[in-house]
This record gives sequence, structure tokens and C-alpha cells, in this order.
Amino acid sequence: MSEVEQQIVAPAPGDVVLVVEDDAFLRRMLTEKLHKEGLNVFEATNGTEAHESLNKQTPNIILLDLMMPGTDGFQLLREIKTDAKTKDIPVMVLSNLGEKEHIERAMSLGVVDYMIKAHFVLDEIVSKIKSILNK
Amino acid sequence: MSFLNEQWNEILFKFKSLPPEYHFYFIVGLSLLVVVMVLVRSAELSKIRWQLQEQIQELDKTAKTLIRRDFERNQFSEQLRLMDEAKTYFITVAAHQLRTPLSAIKWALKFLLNGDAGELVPAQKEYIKSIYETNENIIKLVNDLLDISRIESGRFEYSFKEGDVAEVMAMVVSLFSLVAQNKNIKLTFEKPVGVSGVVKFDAEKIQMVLENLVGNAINYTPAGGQVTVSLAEDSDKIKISVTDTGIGIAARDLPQLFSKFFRLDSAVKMVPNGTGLGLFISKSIVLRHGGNIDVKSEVGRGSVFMFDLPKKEPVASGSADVGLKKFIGNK
Repeated sequence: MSEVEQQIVAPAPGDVVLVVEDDAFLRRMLTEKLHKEGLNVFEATNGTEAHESLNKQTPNIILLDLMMPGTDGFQLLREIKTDAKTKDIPVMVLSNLGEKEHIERAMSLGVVDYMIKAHFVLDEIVSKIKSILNK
Repeated sequence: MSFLNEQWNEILFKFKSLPPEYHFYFIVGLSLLVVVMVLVRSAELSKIRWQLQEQIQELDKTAKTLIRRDFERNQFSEQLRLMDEAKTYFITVAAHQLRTPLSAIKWALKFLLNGDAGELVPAQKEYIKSIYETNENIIKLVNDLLDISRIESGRFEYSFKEGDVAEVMAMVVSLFSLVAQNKNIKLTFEKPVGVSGVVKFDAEKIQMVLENLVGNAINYTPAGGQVTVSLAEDSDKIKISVTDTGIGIAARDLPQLFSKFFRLDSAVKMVPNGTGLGLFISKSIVLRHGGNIDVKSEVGRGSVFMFDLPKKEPVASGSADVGLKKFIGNK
């Protein structure tokens, strides 16, 4: 199903994704995959770097990890959603925290989707990103 | 009698015939005896009183000990509660920490399998597929452990809504149709005309139960066999059964079948990667609905796993929780 979706929905050239992920290997694979799909990627390894990146450019979507050293994902999410400049950027959580309370908390803070990393392969994640970008 | 009387009269006579000073000594002697007896008696009484006081003190001490023990027990149960919370927190964090490398492995292997890092020769592909499947099993184990931790700490949340269990059954059957077909097993869903599967239930959880039972049935049935999922109904409950023509389970193993981590040797031989948690989770879910789960089996012939769901609202009956708590041996 994901492959079919990929063929139908091509990303608008120049769509920008901000990947906020502290694990270097996961970040690298995500970035590589997104590049391959024709998306522009900016990376951040924590909340501070995400803020720096958001000050420089406005991405079309933010992929957000939740458990990170320093400013964690929830705090960053609250900051993004209360800042007039960034509050309309769709945020998709990509985390391995999967307790109901985490999902509900993230949803109440206004994320568009919540994916548990271990439950999806990159193709499925990319399909989701594309469907959000095409809304 | 008369003899005694005579003797007594004789003594009295002898006493009377004694000189008067002897009468005086006798009276004094008798009085002294009475005084001594009174003194001894009062000493005894005061001793008893003293003993009673001691006993009262003893009782008082016991009462205080009991009160202290009760307090300690409360403290202990508070400590147990905190330990339980710590365990839950530990499992949640450990699950997260485990899932991160597991997802990295999953993504990377898929990357390789897709040929994104160059085409693989068939043998390489086979090995990587096996590693991928093993990794999937570890992810499943982590998820099961999380579910069990939720069940045991009472955080496995349910949302009961009215719906048709038959729809969930049909979906699970179609979900497994390809797996069954690949194994050359005939998988069918039987629902007699007029039978309704409409009850209040948690569709997501019942789907887990059905996936578990149907998955097991397919796993433990050799090629050429048959797995039938069927729905029946009586006045107060609906009955769901999964029948297979698989290896079957010996009668002596049936009582432990729903225990955590219990796996039969024959099952391990056939499906080495199972976690032994599926039936435990399934039974917890069915009990929480106020239903029951049971199994009939014959070695070499096959098994029938059946569970029922009450038509009356499951959350309304407190007995569902009692049954569940008894099963998981909690509190």
C-alpha cells in the first residue's frame, strides 16, 4: 500500500522537513530516505538546535522525537505551538514512547500524527509525511 | 454415724473437763489460726491482683505491638505500591530504550532488503530476512511485556463500545488469509444466519485476542490442515471459537496453558520464537469483558479455543474485575 501511495503522491519540490532526532543512526537513515524522496532536510539533535534551525527557516513539516537530552520533545512541542511563527507547522511525532498517556499528551498539544518508530518501516513513515504535506 | 457422734461427744466431754486456762489457750490458738489464715488468704489475693496487673500490662503491650504492626504493614504496602510504580516506570523506560536500537535494526535491514544499498544475492537476502523476522519477534516481545506490565498495574485501559464482533472476526480472518494460504491451510469464518455478534466490547482488545488465537491455530497446524473461526449466540452471551486440526495439547498441559511465559515443548519445537504471553494477555482481556476463555484439545487431532462475551454491559458488572484480579494474582 505504501509503495502505491508513494507513486501517486509526489512531494512538491523544495518541501522542507525538520528532523529532530537524537539518535545519530536513526537520523542518518531518515535523512537519507527523505533526500531520496526529493525532500530537503534540516537536522536537529535536540531542542536547542531545533530552535536555531526554526529561527533560520520555516519547514513544511517537523518530525519530532520525544525522549531527548536537554529540552525534551514535549517541551519543544509546547514552545513550537505557542510561538506564532511556528504554531501552524504540522508536527508529526516519531518516537518509541508509546504509552497511551504519551500519545494523548502529544495529541492534546496539537500534533498531526504519532508514529512508534519500531512499528513502522521508513517507507510507511515517508508515505505518512507525504500525505500530511499534500493536505 | 452413731460411732462418730459418740467419739465427738467423748472429745467434747474431755475438753469440757479440762481446766479453764486450757479453754483460754484453745480460744487464743484458734483466733491466731484464723488471723494467720486471713493473712495468708489476703496475701494470695494480692498476689492474684499483682498477676492480673501484669497480665493487663502484657495485653497493653500486645495491643501496642499490634497497632505498630498495622502501621508498619501500611507502610509496607505503601512501599510495595512505590516498588510497583518503579517497576512500571522501569519497564516503560526499558521498552523505550530497547525499541530505539530495534527500530534502527528494522529500518536498516529493510533498507538492505529493498536493495537501497545495492542488490543482494538470494542467499544474503534470505539471511537478512531471517534477521528481520527475529528482530520483529523481539519488538513483539517488548510490546507484550509492556502490555503485561499495563495489565498487572491496572493501567491496561479499555473503551467499551457497542459494535459487531463478527466484523472484527471477519477482519482478522482476512488479515491471516495470506499467511494461511502460504502454509496451505484452509482458513474459514462461519457465522450462521440470524446470529448477531453485537455486544459492548473493546474492539481493539478483542482483535488482539482473535489475532492471537488465529495466529496460534495457524502456527500449530501442519500444512493441509484447517482453521475455522465461528460465532454462535445464546440468550445472554455470544460465543467465539477457533478450531484447528493441529498438533493438539495433552490434557496434563491444559491447566497451565494460560500462564505467563508457559510454552509447551511441542510448541517450542514448531514455533521457536513465541513469547508465551499471548494466551495470558488474551485471557486477561476476556475476563475484563466479564467473559470466559477455555480450550478443548486432543493430541494429534486439534484444538478448540473458545471464549464468550456477555451481552450485558461488561463495565457494569464488578465481578469482571474480581475474576481478572484473581487470574493475574494481583492485590
